[in-house]
Amino acid sequence: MRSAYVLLAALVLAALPAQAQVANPGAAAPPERLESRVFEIAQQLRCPTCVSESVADSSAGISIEMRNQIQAQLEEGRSEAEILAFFQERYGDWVLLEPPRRGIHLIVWWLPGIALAAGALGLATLMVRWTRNARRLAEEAPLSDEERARVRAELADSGPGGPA
Amino acid sequence: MNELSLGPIGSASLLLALAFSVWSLIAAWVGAVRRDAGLLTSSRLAGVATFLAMSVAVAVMEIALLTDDFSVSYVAETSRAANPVWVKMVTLWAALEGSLILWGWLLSGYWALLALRAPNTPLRPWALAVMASVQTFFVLVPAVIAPPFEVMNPVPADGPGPNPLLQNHWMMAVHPFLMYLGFVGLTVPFAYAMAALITRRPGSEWMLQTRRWTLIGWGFLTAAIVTGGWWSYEVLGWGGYWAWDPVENVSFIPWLTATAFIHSVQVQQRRHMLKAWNLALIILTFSMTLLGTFLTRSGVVSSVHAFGDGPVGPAFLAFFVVVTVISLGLMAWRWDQVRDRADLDHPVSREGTFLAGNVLFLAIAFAVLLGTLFPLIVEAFTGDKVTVGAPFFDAATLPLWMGVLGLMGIGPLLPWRRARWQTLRSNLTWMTGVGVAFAVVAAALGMRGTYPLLTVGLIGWNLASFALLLTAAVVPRVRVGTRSVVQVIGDYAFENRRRFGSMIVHLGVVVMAAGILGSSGYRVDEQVRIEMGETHAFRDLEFTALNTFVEQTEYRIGAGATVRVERDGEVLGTLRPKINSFFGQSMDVPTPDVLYLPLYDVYLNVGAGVREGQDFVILRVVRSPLISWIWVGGVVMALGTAYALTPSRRRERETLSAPEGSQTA
Repeated sequence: MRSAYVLLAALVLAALPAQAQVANPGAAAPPERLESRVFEIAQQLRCPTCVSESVADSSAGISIEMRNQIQAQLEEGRSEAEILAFFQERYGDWVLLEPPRRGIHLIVWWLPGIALAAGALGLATLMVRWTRNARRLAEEAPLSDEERARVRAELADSGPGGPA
Repeated sequence: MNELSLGPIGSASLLLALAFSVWSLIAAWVGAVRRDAGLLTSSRLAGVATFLAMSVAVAVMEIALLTDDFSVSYVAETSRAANPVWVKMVTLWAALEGSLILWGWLLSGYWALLALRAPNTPLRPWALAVMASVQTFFVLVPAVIAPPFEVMNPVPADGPGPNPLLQNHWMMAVHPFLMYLGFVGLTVPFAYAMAALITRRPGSEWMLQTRRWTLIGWGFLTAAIVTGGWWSYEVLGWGGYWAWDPVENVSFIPWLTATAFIHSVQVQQRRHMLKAWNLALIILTFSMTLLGTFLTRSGVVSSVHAFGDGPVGPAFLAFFVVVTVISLGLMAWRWDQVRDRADLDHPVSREGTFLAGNVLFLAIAFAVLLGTLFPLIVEAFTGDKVTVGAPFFDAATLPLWMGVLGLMGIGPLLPWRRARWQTLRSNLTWMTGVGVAFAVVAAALGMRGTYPLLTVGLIGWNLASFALLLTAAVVPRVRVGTRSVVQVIGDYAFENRRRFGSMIVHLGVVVMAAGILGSSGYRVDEQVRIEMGETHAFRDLEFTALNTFVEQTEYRIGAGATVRVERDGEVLGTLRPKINSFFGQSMDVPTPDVLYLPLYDVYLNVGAGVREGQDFVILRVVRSPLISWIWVGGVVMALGTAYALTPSRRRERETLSAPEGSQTA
C-alpha cells in the first residue's frame, strides 16, 4: 500500500508541469458554476492522479482544475473535440478513457470481436456435429411400430400437454 | 489488561488452525486413496477444528480491535481508539491482513458445514480433500505470509484508523462479507468438480450434490456486486455506481462465468451433454476469483511498478497458477471420461439458447478481462502507459448484453430438444409486437439512439415473455380445475420453486436493465453556486440553500449545507450533503445526500469545502433517472435466488404420483 501512495505522489508531481500549462492565464477565478456539458466531456477524460477514475467522477484537485478548464474553454466557444484534443496533446493518448482506434490499441478493440466470432463459429460447428449425432442416434435405434403405436396412444390419452 | 497479550494468542490460534488444516489435508488425501474410514473421519474432525481455531483467531482480533490493544500490529496499523464500536468491528476487513483472516474463517466455516452435513457419497472424501487443500492455502497466508498478530515494540499510543472511505458508510459492514461468502461458496462446486474428475465420475452427480451451494455462492456474489454499486453511489460523490474500475471488474468476471455455469449445468442434467464444458466453467470461475484476488491484493492493477509489494500478491499468483494448471491438467488426463457424444435435436431449443447464452457470457467475461489486463500487458512489454476506460467496456459489452436480454426472453419459453414451430411463431409474434410497441412509444416520447431504443424494446420483449410463460403454465390448470387464477398461480409458484425463482431473478434483471438505461443514458450533472436563502432552478426542480453547518463528533468533523428540494412548489425533501474529515487522516471524504424518488434520484454533493459561517455553497447536482430501479432489481434477484433455494416438496409428489401413473398406463 505504502509504495502505491509514493507512486501516486510521484504521478501528482509528474503531472504538475502539465497542470500549470493547463491553467488558462485568462481565467482569473476558477468558475464555480459548471454546465452539464462539462461533465459529459470530463466523463471521457482520465483523472491523471487517480486509479481509474474519470475527471467527472474524481474529487482530486487536478480533476477540479480540469473541469474548470473545460468550462472556461466551453465559454470561449470551443467544441468538445477541440477540448479533448487539447488535453490529449498535453497528457498523451493516456488521458482518453476511450482508447484511440489505432496502433497498439487496435488489439484491445479487435480481440473481443474475434473471440466472439471464434466462439460463435465453434458453437455452430459443434451444433452441426451434435445434430448429426442426434440424427444418427435416431437412425441407429429407430422406434418399432409397436413403440410408435404406444407413444401415439399415450399422447392421445394425456391430451394437450402442458409446457415443458 | 496487557498481562495476557492478545498477539501471541492470535498467532497461536492461526498456527493451530494451520496445523489442523494440514492434518486434515493429509488425512483426507491418504484416507481417500486408501479408503480408510478412520482417517477420513479424522480429517473431517480436523476440518471442524480448523474452523474453531480460525474462529478463535477472529474473536481475538475483534477483542484486540474493540479494546484498542495497539500491541497487535494489525490494530496498530489500521485502528484508532476514538472510533465508534461498529467501525472498530469492521476494521477486521478494512485492510489486507485482516480481510485474509475473514476469508480463511468463512472458508473454514463452509468447509466445517460440508464436513458435517454433506451426504456420504463416493465424491465426498475427494471433495473434502480438495477443500482442505484450498483451506490450507487460505490459512497459510494469514498464519505465515501476512501475519496480523505481530507484537509491536514499543506499543504505539494510538493508530491512524482505517481508510476514511471505508468508515464513512455502514455498507462496509455488509458488502465485503457478501463478496467473500460468494467467492467462498463457489469453492464448493469447484471441489466437487475436482472430486468428480479424480474418481472418474464426471456425470451430473457432482453438480446435483452442489446445486444449492452453487446457487448460494452465485446469490451472494450477485448481492455483493449490487450492494457494492449502491455503496459507491452513496459514498463516492459522483452519482454513479460502476466505473469499470479494475477492482470492480475482477469481481464481475467470476460472476459472469458463474452465471454461464448455473445455466449450462441444466443442459447436462437434462440432456447429459457438456460434461467437459461445465467442468471447465467451474474451474475458470474458481481460478478467476483467485486471479482477481491476486490483482487486487498485490497492487498490480494500479501499476506494474507496485509488483512485488509484499509477499501476498505473489502467493496468490502462485496459487492461481498451481490451481489452474492442476485442474486443467487433470481434466486433460481424464479426457476419455469427460468427452461426451453430445446429441442436439435442434439448435432452436432450450439447450440451444443456453449454449448461445454461454458464448455471450464468456465473450463479455473475455472483453472485461482483456480490458482490465491490457494496460498491464502493454506496460510490461513496451513500458507505455495506456488507458482502457469505461467507454471501451460499454462499447465492447453493450451489444453482447443486448443478446443476453434477447435470449433471456426466448429461452425459458422454448422446450427442451426441439421447439414446436407453431407455438414458437405465436410466442415470437407476441414478444416482437410488445417489444416494438415499447420502442415506438419510447421514440414518440423523444428517446433516440440505437441502444436505448433496443433496450426498451427488449424490456417489452421480456415482459411479454413473462406473460406468455405464466399463461402457458396457468391457463391449462385453470381450465382443468375449479380454482381461481390467483390460487393456481400460487400453487404453480409453490410447486415449481426453481422455475418460478428463476423467473423472479430474470424479472430483477429486466428492472435493473431499465435502471441502467435511465441512469447511464439520461443523467444530468451540473455544478452550481447557491447563496444562502436563495433558490436555484435545475430542470424541473428548485433548490433552496437553507443554511451551512459544521458538526463535530469524537472522531470526525462534517461540514456541509442544508438544501430544500422542491418541484412545482411541493417540497420533495431536505438534503444535507457534507464533507467529512476523520481525525488522524489527511483525506476528506465527500458525503453526498440522495433523495430517492421512483422516477429519478436527486443527488447532491458538496463541491468545495464549507467553512463556518459561509454564506454560499457550491454543489454538484445530479439528476439520475430510474437509478433506484437498479437496487430494486438487485433485491428482486436476491429474493428470486432465495426463493429457488427454499426446499421443494415437488420430488415427494413425483415419487408419490409415479405408481399411480404406471397403473393407468
